[in-house]
Amino acid sequence: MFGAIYRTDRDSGPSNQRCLAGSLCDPAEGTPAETLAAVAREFSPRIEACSPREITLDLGGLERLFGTARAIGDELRRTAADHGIRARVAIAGTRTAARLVVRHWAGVTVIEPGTEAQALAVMPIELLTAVANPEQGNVEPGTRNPELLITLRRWGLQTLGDLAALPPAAVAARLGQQGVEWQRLARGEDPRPLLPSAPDERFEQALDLEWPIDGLEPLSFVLGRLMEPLSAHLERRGRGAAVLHVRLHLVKRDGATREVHERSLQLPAPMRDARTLRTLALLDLESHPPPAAIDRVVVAVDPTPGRVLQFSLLARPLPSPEQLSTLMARLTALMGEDRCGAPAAVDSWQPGAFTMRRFAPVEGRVGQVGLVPRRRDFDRLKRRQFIGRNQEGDAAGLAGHPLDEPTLVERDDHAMHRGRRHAEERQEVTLCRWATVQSRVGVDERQVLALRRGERDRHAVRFVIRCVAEGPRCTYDTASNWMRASVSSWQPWSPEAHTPCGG
Amino acid sequence: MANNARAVLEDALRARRLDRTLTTAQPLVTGDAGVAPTAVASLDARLAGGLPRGQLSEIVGPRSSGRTLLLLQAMAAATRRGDIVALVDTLDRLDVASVVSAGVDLDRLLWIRGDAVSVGATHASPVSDRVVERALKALNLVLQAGGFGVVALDLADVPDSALRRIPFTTWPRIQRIVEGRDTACVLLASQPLARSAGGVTLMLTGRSEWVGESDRARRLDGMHVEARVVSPRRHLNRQGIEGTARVRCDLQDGPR
Repeated sequence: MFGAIYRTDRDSGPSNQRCLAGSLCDPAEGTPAETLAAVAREFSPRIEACSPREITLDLGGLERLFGTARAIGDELRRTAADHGIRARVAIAGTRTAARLVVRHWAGVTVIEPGTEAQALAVMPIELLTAVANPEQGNVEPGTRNPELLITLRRWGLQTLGDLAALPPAAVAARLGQQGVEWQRLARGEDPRPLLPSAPDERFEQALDLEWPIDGLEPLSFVLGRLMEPLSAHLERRGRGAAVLHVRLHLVKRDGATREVHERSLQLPAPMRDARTLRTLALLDLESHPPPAAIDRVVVAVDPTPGRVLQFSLLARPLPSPEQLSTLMARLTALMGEDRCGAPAAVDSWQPGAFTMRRFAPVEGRVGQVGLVPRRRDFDRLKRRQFIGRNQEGDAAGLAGHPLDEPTLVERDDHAMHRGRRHAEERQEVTLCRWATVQSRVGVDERQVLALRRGERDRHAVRFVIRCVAEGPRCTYDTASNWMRASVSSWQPWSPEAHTPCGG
Repeated sequence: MANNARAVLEDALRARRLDRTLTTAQPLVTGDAGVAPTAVASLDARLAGGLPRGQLSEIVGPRSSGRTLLLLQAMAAATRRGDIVALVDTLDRLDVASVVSAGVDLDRLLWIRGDAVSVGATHASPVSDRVVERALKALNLVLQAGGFGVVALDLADVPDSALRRIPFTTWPRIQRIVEGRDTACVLLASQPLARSAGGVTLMLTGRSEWVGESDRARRLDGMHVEARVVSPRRHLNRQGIEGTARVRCDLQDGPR
């Protein structure tokens, strides 16, 4: 015997559109869909959320508790009303019949087992649109008219009984498999058994301390005691932790107010090793220590499906995510934030520009190098064309060489702020290089004019390029590290502040 | 008499679990499994395949002698093989563009940046001592984690005064950590520091090569790097304990 609960009250907000019916939560705090699921779980653990408004549940065996099917339905509706939900309830021998009935008749409706086809015969055929397609389960009857429904109407079928009375072979010949499925639904037959929605388990451990503790060393023992059962729970369910939450309830000096020191760790891979989780939590708390003594510790994880590992016999194995996470946490605690990771080249003219990324090597991917910065190409261009071709010691070989954007790099902070630039004025840019050559290049109207020697630098070789810009129309975009034309405002930058380098 | 004294000494070292310091106790490194090739053919030939794994090796030389270049080549070769590499950059001197130019897979490079202390400031001992100490701790953590093909500690620009204050027991301890692992630990310095019994010491001297007669049009064509292999293991060089390998580095194409 199956029952169906259909929530009839209006949604009050967009949050109610979420389908979280399978989750077990506090009815007083959850959305109406969650509350409806909680009501259903009070009667049976085997419930299936068909839509945010509708839940079907297996009522087998409840007669011994509540009595007749009518009494069960009344109790269901009364419980829903106690939680502030107006709902219809239908009980039938099949899930499909209960779902069709609950959408058609208000109140509590009970269909005796074996009489589903007769009870459904008078119902409009439009009800099938909501029941037939699981993804359209929350669609009101008649709001969508699929082609099949239009065909059935064209045939003159108005009720479910009309469709159920058609010969199945003829329906299959004319409408195919979908027509046969609709006919079975019209007779109240279930296309599949009920799929129980498992409640989301909370992976959380808490410990109230008799005496407040201060410092991380005693906390490590507490965390170890909490992590062990949490890890065992995750292992039993085949889950891993994606995010680790540590909530420390602090004791204030006045004793009246309490604060919660909360830290969340995004783990790079699902992990459930208790020692690793404890180490990561402790290293994070070393960097962000709680400001007061702790009297309650709560550890929770966001579960995710566990990792399935397949090692290769041919490739050298990489460190496991647990090892890498621990290593990176220790290195970060030692060296500081953003001091450890994988470097990434930046597409920029700014000398020595780079960014730091999280170090997460991918197993099996070999031989891909990072983004080659265009500065390198620019330097090569200078070596080959500005200097390499200039064997005569003159700028003759460079004259006329075009400097297309974004090759044209320039800066002149004073001129930027003055805002009055002419095409004849020259700007300078200093690019530090690791080679030991220094030259001065003059350009005019975006063409190279002259090449002059500059003075030497002890550690880095500097190219001093004098070039002519387009005036205030050209600017340096600090966001992308590119020269941009037709931008009105200048944004100064200092290449000297980013001296690279080394020997 | 001498043999007896040597036997007694070896027994004493073994009793104190220091037998790995004996050159005769070092395993013969042959084949690709026990070495990390540097991808410089002449040098690999001299090193019997490359830098030995599970040992502490050194690349030493003066400034602009090609130390970083050679290290980056070894790291690029390691990342091409699928290994992950780590560089403890004591004074934060690494140029990422040079790393990319060397062909290192950046996703497989763990870069640990120390404090960016200028050359002049490193002479202040409290600063440099703290920086070196943190770098050594970071190296310790990386080696203990394991799984890295090449792990390097860059002490190239650290002043000699700070290097001399490093306890000598540091290097046997690091050697002890890396023993038995697949990691080739490399020390980059201006002078030999560790002198590991199982590792090699590459002493580099670099010479820049210029093209052009005129002073105004002279250009840097490349660098001539000469590496002298110093190793207590004679099988690396049957003609003596020292050998040389010449590496010519072109600005456009890298070392060859």
